[in-house]
This record gives sequence, C-alpha cells and structure tokens, in this order.
Amino acid sequence: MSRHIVLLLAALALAAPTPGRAQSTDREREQERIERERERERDRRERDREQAEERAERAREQAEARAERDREREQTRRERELAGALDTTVTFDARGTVNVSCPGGDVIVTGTARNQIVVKARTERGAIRFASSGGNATLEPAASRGCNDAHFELSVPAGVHLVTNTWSGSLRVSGVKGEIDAHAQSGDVDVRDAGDDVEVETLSGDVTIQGASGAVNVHTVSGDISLTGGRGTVEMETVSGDIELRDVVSSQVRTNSTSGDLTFAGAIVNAGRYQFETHSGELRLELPANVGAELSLSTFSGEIDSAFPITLTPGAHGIGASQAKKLTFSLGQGSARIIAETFSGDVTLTKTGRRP
Amino acid sequence: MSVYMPLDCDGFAAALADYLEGDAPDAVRAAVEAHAEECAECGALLADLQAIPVQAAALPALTPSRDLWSGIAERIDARVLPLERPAARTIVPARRSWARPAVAAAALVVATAGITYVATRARYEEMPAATASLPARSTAPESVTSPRQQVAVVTPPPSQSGGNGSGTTMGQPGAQRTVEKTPAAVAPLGRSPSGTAQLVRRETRRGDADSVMSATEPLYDREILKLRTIMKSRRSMLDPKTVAVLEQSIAVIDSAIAQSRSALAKDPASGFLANQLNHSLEKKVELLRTAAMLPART
Repeated sequence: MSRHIVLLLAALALAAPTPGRAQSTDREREQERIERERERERDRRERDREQAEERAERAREQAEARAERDREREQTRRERELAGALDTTVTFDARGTVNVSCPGGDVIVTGTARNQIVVKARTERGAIRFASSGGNATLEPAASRGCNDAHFELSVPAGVHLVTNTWSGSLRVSGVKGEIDAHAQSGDVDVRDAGDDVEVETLSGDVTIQGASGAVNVHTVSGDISLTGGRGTVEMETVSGDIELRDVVSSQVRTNSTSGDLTFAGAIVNAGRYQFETHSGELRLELPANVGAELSLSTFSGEIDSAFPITLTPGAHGIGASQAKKLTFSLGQGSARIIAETFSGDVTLTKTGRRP
Repeated sequence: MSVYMPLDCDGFAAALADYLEGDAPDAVRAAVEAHAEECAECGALLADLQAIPVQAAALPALTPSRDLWSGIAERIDARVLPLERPAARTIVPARRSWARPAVAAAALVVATAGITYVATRARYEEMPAATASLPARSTAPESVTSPRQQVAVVTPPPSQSGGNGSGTTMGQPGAQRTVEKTPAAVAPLGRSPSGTAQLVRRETRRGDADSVMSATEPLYDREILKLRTIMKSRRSMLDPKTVAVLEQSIAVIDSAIAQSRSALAKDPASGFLANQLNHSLEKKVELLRTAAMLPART
C-alpha cells in the first residue's frame, strides 16, 4: 500500500511540473503574439501616418499649385485688363490741348463737334495712362519703357490743339481744326482737313496732308512730303525726301531739299513769293497759263526747260565765270516772285494741265 | 528688373533720367538711391541735379533794365561771330556721360541758332541784291577782282578740301584766326558800293585769297564736329534703323557740300554757289542737331 502511495506520490511529483511548464510556454507564446500584434499595429499606424502625411503633402502641393495658377491667371487677367485696354469718355474744353504719345503703335485722332474726348486704346503689352484736367489731356504709356503694338483711337473736340509723338507707328488725324504738332520717326503721318497751323517733323516717315487752311510747316530727313489743298503759308524742308505740292493756293511757299525732287502745281497769287531750292533734286513747276510773275531760275549744272516763252532782259545771265546759269524773266502781268535754285538738278516749267 | 541691381556708375547714369522724371520703377529707384549713397561722385551729381529745380524756383524774376536787343543786333551786324564760345562757357560742365550730350546739345542749339540766323540773314539780304544788281555787276567787275577786297566765300585750298566735306575738314587755322582776331576788319553785311552782292565781304590784311574762306564755314565746321561727337556717343541709344537713315542722309549732304565746294573753288565769286554751300552746311548742322535731340530708342 505504502509503495503504491510512494509511487503515486512519485508519479504526481513527476506529473506536477509538466502542466506548469506547459502553462509557462503558453504565456510566452501569448506574449509573443501580443508583441507581434503590437508591432503590426505600430507598423500599420506608422504606415497610416505616412500615408496621411503623403496625402496631406500632396494636397498641400496641389493647393499651392492651384493657388499659383490662380495667382498667375489673376495677374494675367489684371495685366490684360490694365494694360490691354482703356475705354473712356470725358468732357473736354473745345479749345484745350491733347497730347498723345505712342512709342510702339498707331494713333488715329478724329475731330468732332462734341466737347468730349472718347478714348479707345489697346496695347499688346504695357499699361496705358490717360489723364485729363478738362483743358489738358494726355494719353501715353504708363511706363517709361513704352508699349508694344498699341492702337490708340481718339475722338476729340475739333478745336483742340493736338500734340503727338509717335515712333514707328502711323498717325492719322482728320477733322482737327486747332493747331497740330506731330513728331514721328519712321512712322507715316497723314493729316486731313486741318483748320489751323500744322507742323510735322519726321525722320523717315512720309507726310501726307490733304486740306490745310493754316500754315503748313513740314521737316523730314528722308520721308516724302505731299500737300494737297494747302491754303496758308507753306514751308517744307527735307534731305532726300520728295516734295509734292498740288492745288496749293498760298502767297508764301518755300521748299528746300538736298537730293529730293519737288513738284509744285498750284496758284501763283499776286505779290506772292515762291522759293524752291534743291541741290541735286529736280524742280518741276506747273504754273497756270496766265501766270503773272517775275521768275528767277538758277542752276549750276542742271538743265532749264520751259513751256513758257522766256524773254531775257538784257545783261549777263551767267553766274560768275562758271557754267552756271541764271535766268531772270517775267511772265504775264503780276508782281509774284518765283525763285528756283538747283545745283545739279533740272528745272522744268510746264503749264497746268499739260505734261512736258 | 534684376539688370538694374546692383548699379554701377554707368547703370546709374542710364537710370538717372527716368529716376529724375519719376518714371523709374520702385526697384530701380531703390537701386539708384543705393548707388548714390555708395558712390560719392554719383551721389553729388544726384544732389546737384535735385537741387537745380529747387534753386531755380527760388530765383527772382528778372527784368532787363533796358532793351538789350539793339546792342545784340548791332553785334551780329558787326559780324563778331564766335558765338558758340561764350554760349558754351555759360553752361556748367556736365560730369556724367549722359548729361554731357544733352547739355552740349542745348548749348549748340543756342550757338547754331545764331549761325543759322547769320547765314539765313546773309542769304535773304543777298538774294534781291543779286537779281537787282546783275547789270551793275557786268559793268563793275573791278569790285570782284580788287586786290583789297576779296569775296570771303572761297573754298579751302585743295589740301584741306580733299575730304568729303564733313567735320573732318574743320580747322583751317589761319582763316579761323583771321576771323577771330580781326573782327573790326569784317565789314557789315550788305551791298558793296558797286552794288555787287556778296555773302560776306571783308578786307584781308595778307591779300592772300587762299587764306580766306566763308566767315560762317569754320563755325559750321566746328558745330558739325561737336554735333558729330554727340551723335557718336548717342549712337548706341538710337535705333539701328534710325542711325542708318541719319548716316545715309549725312552722306547725301556731304556729297552736296563737296560738290558745292569744288564748284566754288573754280568760281569763287559766285554768290549762288556760296549760297548752295551754306544751304548744305546749314542742313547738316540741322540734321545733326536733330540727331542729338532724338529720343532714345524705347
């Protein structure tokens, strides 16, 4: 019996640690599982956080890009709005002064019967500034650097004094009855129906004036000059541009060129003075058949050709000892004086309506 | 904008005009001011330029105590011609390269306007006289050939007229000196007792025809040389097309001047040829003056 007890006890003793060990292994396993679980959880959280951060970053970038795009779009819009266009109407003194300056573009000015200025100005780039104090208005580029591909269109009270500065663009003025002062470089100047004095200066731009009641004073370097329908004093000067005067009724005309030709077809007013000078250009004078004037034609080496009979007054008609010719003679009855001087250009007199 | 910053002296000079006009963008204004603080010379220039309008505004309005024109007209009639020297002296010398052409151009406008006045006056007074006196001239040729009286408008000797007639022919020292040192010998403009019209008439002490030339010509030549210098310095500021137009036109005028001079050498008595030469010289001065005043390219 006691052996049985001993055996039982021994068996128990042997059996007893086994469940303890098993229990301990389970705990460890559990522990490990939890650890793994925690780790996975940490990883997941980490991943989530990273993903969230990435998403946030992307969102932020997108937002920034969007904002940038919006800003650019807004700036472009503002620039276009500010620079590209100016439409305005202001009341203005009928005899005020309007200054227009357009370094890179065309200008059109029209005189109207209304006492207001209507401005329609466009530029491809560069803002426009228009300021008016009621009697003095200025339309010009806002920046000193100028504007590109501009197109300025204004209607102004007909009686204003117009002052323009253009560079390569053209200027067209019509119906302005006040004084006109136009300065251009290579751009052409076209003036119609001027009512007062017109003064134009260009470098290489051509000048065309049709209808001018006041004095016309034009200076160019190489630009051609054409005046049709001038009624006031005419003074024109150029280096190599051609000068053409048609339907001019004026008592005082003076032209001067170095190599440019001159064509004059107009009235010879009693007591008027007409003086045409050139170095190597040709002088073509179309005079009315009944012209009354004392003429004085001088040339050093050019030819003199006249459709009018020339009756020379007695005396020498050479100039000094050289080959130069000077012819002084009268046509009809009248006290006008016509003086034509060339160095090497020809002088041709024709009767109005007939070509040589 | 970055091209303006930081500014050196040349950049400062280039931006100065806009700055003074109030047209410079803020960045440029700042750069100009910064440079003016750094550089004593530019700073002094800026201070001077800013002070001018202020001081000018403070000046009292002056009324001349008597009519000065009669005195001025008398002096012009007396052919005392070195106009441009006193005019140039009254101008404060400019320190910067940009200012020099502008100031010089302004001075030359004054000087050349005087010459233009003298030359055109001569021309207009000469013209009716020439026509009216043609028969008289044929009967009184001695007035032209008199050893004591020389027509002043004569081409320079071949050695000096060989050029193209541009400013390079300037400096006929002998003739120039004669004009300046013997103003009393220069007779007033007008017709001679014989009625022969001459642009400028005077007695020469040497009686040497070669040493005599147009009283206005050395002045023209000096102006041309100065304006040429201005134009050269402004060349880069102008549009190349503009420069081309100017150069071509100057060539046209130079050829006219050369032709007139050569014709005048053969016929020194011709008032007509002298006139032609004066026209061309005047035109050249005008053209160069225009070039000096042209706005810079935009």
